[in-house]
Amino acid sequence: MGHSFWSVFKYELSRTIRKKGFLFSAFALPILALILVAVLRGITGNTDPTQQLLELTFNLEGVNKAGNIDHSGLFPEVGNLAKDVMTRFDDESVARASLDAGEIDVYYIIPEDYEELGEIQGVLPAFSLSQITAAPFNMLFFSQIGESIAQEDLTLLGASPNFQVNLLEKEGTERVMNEDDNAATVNLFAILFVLALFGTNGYLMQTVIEEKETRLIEILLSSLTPLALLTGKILALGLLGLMQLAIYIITLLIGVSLFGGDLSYLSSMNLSGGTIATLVVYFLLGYLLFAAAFGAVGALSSSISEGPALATFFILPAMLPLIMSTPFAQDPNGSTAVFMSLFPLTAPMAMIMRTSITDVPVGELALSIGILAISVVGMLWFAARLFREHTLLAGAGFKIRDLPRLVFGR
Amino acid sequence: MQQSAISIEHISKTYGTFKAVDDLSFEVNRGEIFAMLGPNGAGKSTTIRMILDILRPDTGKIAIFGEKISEELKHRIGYLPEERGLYREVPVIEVMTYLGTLKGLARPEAQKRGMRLLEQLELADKAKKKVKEFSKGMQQKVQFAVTILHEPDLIIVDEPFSGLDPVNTQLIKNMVKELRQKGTAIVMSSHEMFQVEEMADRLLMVNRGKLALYGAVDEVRKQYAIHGIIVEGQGDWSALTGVESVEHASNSRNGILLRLKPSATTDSVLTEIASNHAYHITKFEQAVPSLNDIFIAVAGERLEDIEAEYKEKLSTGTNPVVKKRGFLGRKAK
Repeated sequence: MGHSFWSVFKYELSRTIRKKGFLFSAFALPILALILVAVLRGITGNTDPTQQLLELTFNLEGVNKAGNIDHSGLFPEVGNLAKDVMTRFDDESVARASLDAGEIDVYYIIPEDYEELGEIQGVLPAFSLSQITAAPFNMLFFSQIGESIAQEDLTLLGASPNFQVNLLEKEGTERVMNEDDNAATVNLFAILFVLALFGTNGYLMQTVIEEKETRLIEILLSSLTPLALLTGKILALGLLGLMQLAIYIITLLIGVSLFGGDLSYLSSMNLSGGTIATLVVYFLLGYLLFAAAFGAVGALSSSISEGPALATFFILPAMLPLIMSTPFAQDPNGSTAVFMSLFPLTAPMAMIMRTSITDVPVGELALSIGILAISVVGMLWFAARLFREHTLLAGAGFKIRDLPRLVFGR
Repeated sequence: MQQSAISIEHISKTYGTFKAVDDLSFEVNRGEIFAMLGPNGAGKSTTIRMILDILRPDTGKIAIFGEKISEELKHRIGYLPEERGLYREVPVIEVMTYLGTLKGLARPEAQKRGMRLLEQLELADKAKKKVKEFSKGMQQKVQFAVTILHEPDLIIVDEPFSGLDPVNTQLIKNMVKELRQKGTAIVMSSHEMFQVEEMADRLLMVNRGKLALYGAVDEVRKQYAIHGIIVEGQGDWSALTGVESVEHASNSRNGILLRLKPSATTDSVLTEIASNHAYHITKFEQAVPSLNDIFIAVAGERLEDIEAEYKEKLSTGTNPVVKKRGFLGRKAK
């Protein structure tokens, strides 16, 4: 397998990198995005980074009313800036009653050691991304200690505190999560995963269908094993996918340096080594699983137009945990979440979301990775079997009832 | 040195309830052109795919150069399938180089050999053009070049002359014959019987997945020879003493098939014609059937079965569409 595998790997790499579609999405698209941002900035005239930071700092998002319980003694008054949003409570039970009554959306507990550690806690009745914000507290902060300081200098203080959220949705249980970790990790993983799925695996599917349509596949299969052909393609296109992602990230950084923007949440991500390892494992296994699946779709498709339609059978389950993010986040250890973590097609997205918001039992994590790894091998075998049998029948319509014959040769 | 390039023992392959190949055994020797014949759907392509390990037989054994197929062995095989194509958006020399590397050649060597073959096929000036810019015949020549690029010991070509004009057909034929001289085993599947008759040393004919004919081309033709002669000319052929019946020869525009009485010989009939001025002949040959006739006769058995099935299904008494073709001759009017 070795020599042929490398030949396929090198050829797919050199051929795809010269394709107009790839060149456009990898290079032209980010440049166009930069130009678009520049044009929009030109129209709005908003290029002042200080102003932008102020807007971010005071963006209330979904919070209309908030409360605070100050144990530090630093915030005796609400102040002018926060008076329309913030209500001061002397006792947490009163704040809780106000929260239960729906008078406020969130309250913040400012501990005694706030000045020393810079940490506060936010308390919400239930998970809501739009309400996980420190903006009301930021207003309180600037109202109290910022009156004598120029606004430009204030922004340099890094107003956002280290911020933890308590969800009160389940009586007797409280989960603590970090806003930045959650939102950034889930969103970043979702974007990377979607790009890998729709981008490079789309190319993989296209190349397989092209080889079927041109009938080149039979010559290829007389030279090497279906598995060598498939894995050569998967790894070459996977590498290009990573390269494409790197270009996007570099473009993002260039965009931020040119036009401003807040990436502080990325730099302040507090991911443990275990979480990072989990993320990497699920990303790689997930990529391989769906790459093999797209290869199988290519083998089953009789035309370029048929491929994407068949691919949705795999894309939808992959995206399901993200689509169901709210109920998922509300009960990350519930039966639905656990099932999605074990089912191979939903596991990559489901598990990364769960590990971001709750502690997943090690045994369950191991079981999920084990099932996913076996599924990767199984999907590669399945796709390779289809390469052997079905690709030769190019032009024949695919029927589910044909699958056993196509896979097992009978 | 192992004489046999391909050795096949009792292979079978079934798709669902359809038996595509049924207990087939044969051998292909080095340095010979071996024709694989049979009507459409007879099991030729399935057999070829099993030889190449693209499909696996349900039962039976296949040995290539005495060994079980492996990636190294695949490097010694060149394959030109019936339904073929190349990447359309890629320069010709690049496709050739890539396919050469898949056969174990280093990239520079594959490129060098590719250019040499393109020169031989008078396509060197178009090496950097994309495949889609080539005519069907030119693509066909490139595909043949890809098949022999790595100088294989065994080549399997399915309909190698389809889409080629007579000049290019001759060019490819010469290259195939040259390879035979060098000791390459060549398996050729074709429906162009006159090409097979001209080039092949031995043949295999499969029908409904089973072996129908197998052996040296001349021997097979002799097996089907009848006691008769084919003549072209003028005269009252039925008046000849040694002639039993007169028919039109199916494989000739003006030929007449003279079936001889058991007591008559070819020489005695020729002597009688030559000594009688009432006869004038321009052509005289033994009634050995062409491969085309044999093919039709063997495939006709299949058609006869289809006809029976058709009749059974249609109990309305409608005339059957399919009719068995005659062998070599038909009744003269």
